[in-house]
Amino acid sequence: MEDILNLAVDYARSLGATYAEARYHRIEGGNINLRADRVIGITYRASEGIGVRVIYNGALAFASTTRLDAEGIKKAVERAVATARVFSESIKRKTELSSERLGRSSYEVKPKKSFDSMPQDLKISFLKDLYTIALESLKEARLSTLLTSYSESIEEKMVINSDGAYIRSRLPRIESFINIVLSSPEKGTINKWLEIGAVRGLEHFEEIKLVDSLKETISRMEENLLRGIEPPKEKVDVILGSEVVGLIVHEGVGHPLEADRVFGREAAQAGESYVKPEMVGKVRIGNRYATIIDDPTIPGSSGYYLYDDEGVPARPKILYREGVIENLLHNRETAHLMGVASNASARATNHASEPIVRMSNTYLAPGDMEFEELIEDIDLGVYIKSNMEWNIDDTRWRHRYIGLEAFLIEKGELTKPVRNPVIEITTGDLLSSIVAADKNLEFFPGMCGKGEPMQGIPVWMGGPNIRLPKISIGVAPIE
Amino acid sequence: MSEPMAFGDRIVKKALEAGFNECAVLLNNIERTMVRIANNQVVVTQNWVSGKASLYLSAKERVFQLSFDTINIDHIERTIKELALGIDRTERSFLYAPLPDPDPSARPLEGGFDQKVYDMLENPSEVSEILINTALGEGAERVAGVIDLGVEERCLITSKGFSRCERKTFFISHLRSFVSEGSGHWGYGSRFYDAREVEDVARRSAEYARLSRTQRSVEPGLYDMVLSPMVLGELLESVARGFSALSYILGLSFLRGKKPGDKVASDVLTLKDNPLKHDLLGSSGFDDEGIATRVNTLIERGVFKTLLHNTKTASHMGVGSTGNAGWIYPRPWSLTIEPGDMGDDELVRELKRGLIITNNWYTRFHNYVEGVFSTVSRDALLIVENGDIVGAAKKVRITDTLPNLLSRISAVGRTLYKVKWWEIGVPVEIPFVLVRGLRISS
Repeated sequence: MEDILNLAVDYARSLGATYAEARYHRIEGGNINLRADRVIGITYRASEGIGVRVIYNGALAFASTTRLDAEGIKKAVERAVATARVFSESIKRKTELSSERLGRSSYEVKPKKSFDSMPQDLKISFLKDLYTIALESLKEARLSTLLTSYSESIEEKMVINSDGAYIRSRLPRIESFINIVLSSPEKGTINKWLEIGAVRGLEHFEEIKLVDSLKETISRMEENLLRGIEPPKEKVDVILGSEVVGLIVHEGVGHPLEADRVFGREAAQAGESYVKPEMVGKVRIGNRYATIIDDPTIPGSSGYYLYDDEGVPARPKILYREGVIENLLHNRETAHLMGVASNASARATNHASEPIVRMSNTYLAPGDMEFEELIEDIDLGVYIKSNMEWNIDDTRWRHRYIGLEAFLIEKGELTKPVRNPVIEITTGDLLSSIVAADKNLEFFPGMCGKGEPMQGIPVWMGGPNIRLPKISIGVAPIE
Repeated sequence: MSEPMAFGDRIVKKALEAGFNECAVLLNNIERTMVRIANNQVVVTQNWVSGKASLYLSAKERVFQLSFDTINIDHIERTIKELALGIDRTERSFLYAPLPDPDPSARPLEGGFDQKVYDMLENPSEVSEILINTALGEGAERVAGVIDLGVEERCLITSKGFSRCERKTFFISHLRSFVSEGSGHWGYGSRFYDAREVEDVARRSAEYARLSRTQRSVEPGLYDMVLSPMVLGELLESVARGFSALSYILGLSFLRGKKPGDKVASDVLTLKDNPLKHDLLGSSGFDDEGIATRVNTLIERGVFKTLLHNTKTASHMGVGSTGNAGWIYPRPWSLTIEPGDMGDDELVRELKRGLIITNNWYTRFHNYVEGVFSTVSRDALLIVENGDIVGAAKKVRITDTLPNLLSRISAVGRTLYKVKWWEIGVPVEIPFVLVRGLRISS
């Protein structure tokens, strides 16, 4: 394969490309899907091909092929160069890349417990057991729907470019999705979509104590459905749980700090940003608790990588330091536009995708309190542990989250469940009003979408539990 | 026998030899070019020549789906053999039903291929020039958008003897224009290229941007509103998900508890899935099981008529397939709404007082079963008073339910639009609609 990739790079250069990059990308894996304790079906998927990028007279072009021989790759290169040539004369702002010291390395994550170590029938039995556990966790409510999906895959890449990069990687990915609907004739339904994901093997399920976690989640959902009360109507102190905090910093900090978005490249797709290039290093959005990091080097994380898809060595990036925007997320193209170095944020979903600026594992830095200390002096408040519905506007400023597992705080104690509390708040108001954070840093997996064609890419999102003072809480459903 | 059919035939034979009882092979060969525009210029071109093989296999009522983004016969055959060794390590699917016998009426749909689109694969600069120059000429200060075009050959070969291919083109363009703090976005998708439609995309996006260049806040509350086809198209995808019989069987549909004949929408709404209109992006003559596609009415004058079925969901529910396979998940081809009798301007006059939502994104559900959702407006949000557009509003969030949305449509426009962009997955041909009393939370 190395020979084919070198051929692609050399051939593109011979056709006049000033930069050429070839990436072999293979993802192979499968899924098992059950409804309750009954199998729906088994899937297997294999995606394998080469993506080529060239810059020709300042025009950037991408082409991909699933033909892995010399003829197939040469045709892909010819297509990329030909389309770049078509538009190169009309482009006013030429594409250039930052100068970087690129990696020449191979790395691999070896699972402690390989996917092959458990035969298919035992994996099915494991999913069936989850159904039994879910049933046994309920006292009064009915389990209307339980969909379980288990997914495993191996992702292999080789990246070679004309600036000297040579990167090989091999990562195992494990994921599971559990869709839970509980119902009660008097109270209606409650619905949660539980997501699990990591760059690990089967050991991940044990490490996160999936069985215990499912039991607790279902018990809390049942309590919430049957005995949940409306949130207080007056403004109260709110504790946001790690899951909600992770989503907030992903949506309200990570996305708007993607430099391609800041420069308008996603304007017709994932949107623009409240951040302008001149704000970096100067503008304060949050307070001293708002330190937010994107770190692809966290072992086992869904967003794990050691070199990005342009061959730049990965490292943690501080996006906000104590409320001030410190770094955007860059690939080599946006880094050149800003006159800085790339911070290795170029990722592509598969061989058919161009590498674009992406988050990896984005989190709010933890504080030093215990959870109990966070709530001990709250007379009346709400703790929103997890959420279901959320959304945000296309400049990433105005958020909405509806709590799913939520509790009333009375005199420093969690007391009753709270049904469907709604928070609508701006990024600025939220990050500038944090008054405390505990030390419990937790991460949650997600599939982040961006680009056209849409590229879904695995990430982690995380943070501690945080406290916000005097927040208005709405309630859903709306009638 | 054509090359894809011979290829599919070989895979079917190998699957049966390996021990499977049934096999269907779906082959998709695509040539595609995408041009992305930002800041008034092309920022990247993307080009794909790809082959994809998808397989459905069953043995002892166990069900397997395979997908290969690379057409490598050795790899496919090796995988089939490995999978066959593990048949007894899986279980019968509760949805299992045999693949159908070949449907004699299932034929490739005529039309749907545009030589002009095919010819533009190597050089779509004509379209990018129309989009950029028209929008800038109409007052846009800055534009971003996409041209996405190509040709796709789709072949289905089954162990029951079905063997057919369709070859169709596709053309999509969408553009977002900016003027000061205002923006407008419009899109178009069809099997055919039409320069006038491309100009209309550019012109309409620039017009909305101009109309929204200064904005003021509106208060939360219940509003009457006109939803553009861009908004309705995005929301209809969630509606259609509820009409997939698999969603219904799994207990995830907002139609839970409803049955055909029940009232689920207002009298003015007739929603169909139409795969037979050959200019629509989802047009096709046969589904993934080889059943002839047909026009299915999902809602007729507000009444729930049918779910969308493949043979598995149909067998499970004791009805017939509607020609919407997906081997596991029945899906819509192209959603259409029966036109009403009002022009777009008449709808605004009928609105009298309220909002025109021209675009939205990020629809998310708090509860799929109850259809509780919110969605965020983006681009021009126009304020209407006394039947006239009097200004533009800052972004709002609609927070309501799908049942409310469907039941509160009070008028339907007579002009249909084939809108398509990043947030519209299922192809549509739909009008503007007037909805009375949707809630805005902020």
